[in-house]
Amino acid sequence: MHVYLRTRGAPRKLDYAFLGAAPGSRWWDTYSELTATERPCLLAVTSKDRWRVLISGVPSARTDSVGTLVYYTLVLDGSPCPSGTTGTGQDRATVLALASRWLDDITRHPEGRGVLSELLDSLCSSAEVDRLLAARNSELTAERAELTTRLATALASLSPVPSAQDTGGPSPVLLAERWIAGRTAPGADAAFLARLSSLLSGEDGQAHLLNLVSSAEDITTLPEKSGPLAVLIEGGMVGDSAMPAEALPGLTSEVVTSAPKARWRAAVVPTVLTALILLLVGLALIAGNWT
Amino acid sequence: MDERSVFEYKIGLLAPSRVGKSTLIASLLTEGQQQLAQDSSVHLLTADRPTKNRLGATYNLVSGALKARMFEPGVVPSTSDPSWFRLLLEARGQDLQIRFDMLDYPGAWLEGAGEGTEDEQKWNECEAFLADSSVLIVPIDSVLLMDSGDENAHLLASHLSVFQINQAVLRWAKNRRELSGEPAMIVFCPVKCETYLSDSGSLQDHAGALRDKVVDQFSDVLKTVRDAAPHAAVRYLPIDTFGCVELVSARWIRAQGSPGGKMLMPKYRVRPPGRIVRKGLDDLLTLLCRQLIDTARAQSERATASRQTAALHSRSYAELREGFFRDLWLNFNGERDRRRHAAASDERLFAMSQQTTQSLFDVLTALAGRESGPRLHHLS
Repeated sequence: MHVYLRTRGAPRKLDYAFLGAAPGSRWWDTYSELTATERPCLLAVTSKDRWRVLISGVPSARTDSVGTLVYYTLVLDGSPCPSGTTGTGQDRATVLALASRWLDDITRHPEGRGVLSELLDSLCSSAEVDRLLAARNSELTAERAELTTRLATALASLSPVPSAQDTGGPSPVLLAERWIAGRTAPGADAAFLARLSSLLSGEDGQAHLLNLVSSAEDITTLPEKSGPLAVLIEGGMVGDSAMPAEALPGLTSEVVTSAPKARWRAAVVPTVLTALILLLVGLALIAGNWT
Repeated sequence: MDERSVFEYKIGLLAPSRVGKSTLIASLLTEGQQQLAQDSSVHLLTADRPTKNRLGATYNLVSGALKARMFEPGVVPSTSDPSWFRLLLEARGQDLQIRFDMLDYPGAWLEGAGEGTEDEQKWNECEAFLADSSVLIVPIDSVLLMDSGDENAHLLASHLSVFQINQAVLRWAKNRRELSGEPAMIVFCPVKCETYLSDSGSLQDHAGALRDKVVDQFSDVLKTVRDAAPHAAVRYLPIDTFGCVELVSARWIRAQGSPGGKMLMPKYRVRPPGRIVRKGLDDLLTLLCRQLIDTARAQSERATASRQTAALHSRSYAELREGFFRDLWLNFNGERDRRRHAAASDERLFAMSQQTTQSLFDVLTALAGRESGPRLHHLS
């Protein structure tokens, strides 16, 4: 598992940047219409045997030059089943503990201040953040690597939030393959973590906590990916965090292939093509015999 | 331009980190909607749900903090990833829309986004957007200009990122020169001006000094515009970011990674009753509306001229006499009807284009009737 940490320094020139190495791609840009990384959010995607998670908007106690509170972005990625390694079970447990702590922090404090904020603030002083951000990427490599190791160790030490005793039982909608719900809807957080667990185990799909979404209509711009989808509405500034769970329709491509006509076409077209090819080959052979 | 007359433009903002790009965009768009609601000629709408939700989030953040009496000038968090705002300017009673996009991005990218990184690639996209913008707005931190003190005056240019702004303006100006048939405008907007201008409740009036300092610090940028795009309009318009706050103190503190190893730390207080009254935004909005509609009108006029040529050509071709037998044949095989049909279609497009141009001209005339405030100045 790779872990990356982004934050900003106090001087205005030290804008948001990764303190150590940066992820290979800015994959979260795909979701920029649906979530603002300045506010609490979580993105998780598994595709082609690789999972990616972003947790952003984690508030720090530090402030910048105009007195605005600074936040952190954590980016994690890994492979569910890399050959020759044994650490994936631990990675899965770490990410699940991290996600459950983050959801709990947001529930306890509207800005998300809590265990995760304290953990990240304790890793690195304000002066150290400024020093790392002021240096070129090629400088202070040992200190950057050491910070990344400290970060990974600190994250691995996180324990998951014990699941609450549910009196009612979750809405059956949350058992559907694709759903959207408010973050505080009954059973939504548990269903979200269960879906995240599947993704971390290698199942293709998505699980997101989005802060610029208020209804199912808003997620029509969500990138279409195969597999299940779970969306939690953060609800801090936009939308209702208590919105009841709602099932989402399947992917357009899946709808088309599951239609009876499409299924019929899918079966007949290859058969007809094969027959035509055989006929042409036969005719060619016959013509060859005649000459 | 399609048949429904939708014109699309870009508005670029050019400023380093923590000057207030995000706040300016959000306040321009949310307050712009309210101000234009009283106007009979145009109104402003969000073009899509993401823009509506993003503006809603910023509005709730600011107004929520104000109502909870926890208001701070830096209430809007700084931007870590680029985001787009898409707005529609609609002419009332006309079937035409002007869509304009604004881009918000991490200000430090202006000074380098890390060579060879993904951030650098993203910044290249942002730079292309800025260079392609019809209007360029340059927000400037007025506190830095006015309260940095003589002993730190030598640090101002680097704290204001004048060199980087000049580079970006040069690229924009060259682009605008190539499109010299289109109107171009750059607006220098000092922000957080509440303390320096008497019309917003301040006891002191430093309007002249503020303007002089902008002209002095950005003299190279002004020269770049004059040299590379002499047809571009250059405006100066100070803006109050919140209107109800004022500077209490500004002191330099040591800061690693900041030019000169120092940064300016301002402290503000909220003026009772703590209600946001932003001055200058209405003028900025009127300027943008006029500029965009004028650009659309110029574009529409060009389209009208080319459609007129096409319509005249199609009609003369449709009615062309080619000899007795040839004309008989053209009537017999339906070619004459096809040509007349094509000519009628081209004439219809020409008439629509004429109507669009006239509508834009009417809206522009109505907007010209709006009086500009005393804060707006021409810089030449």
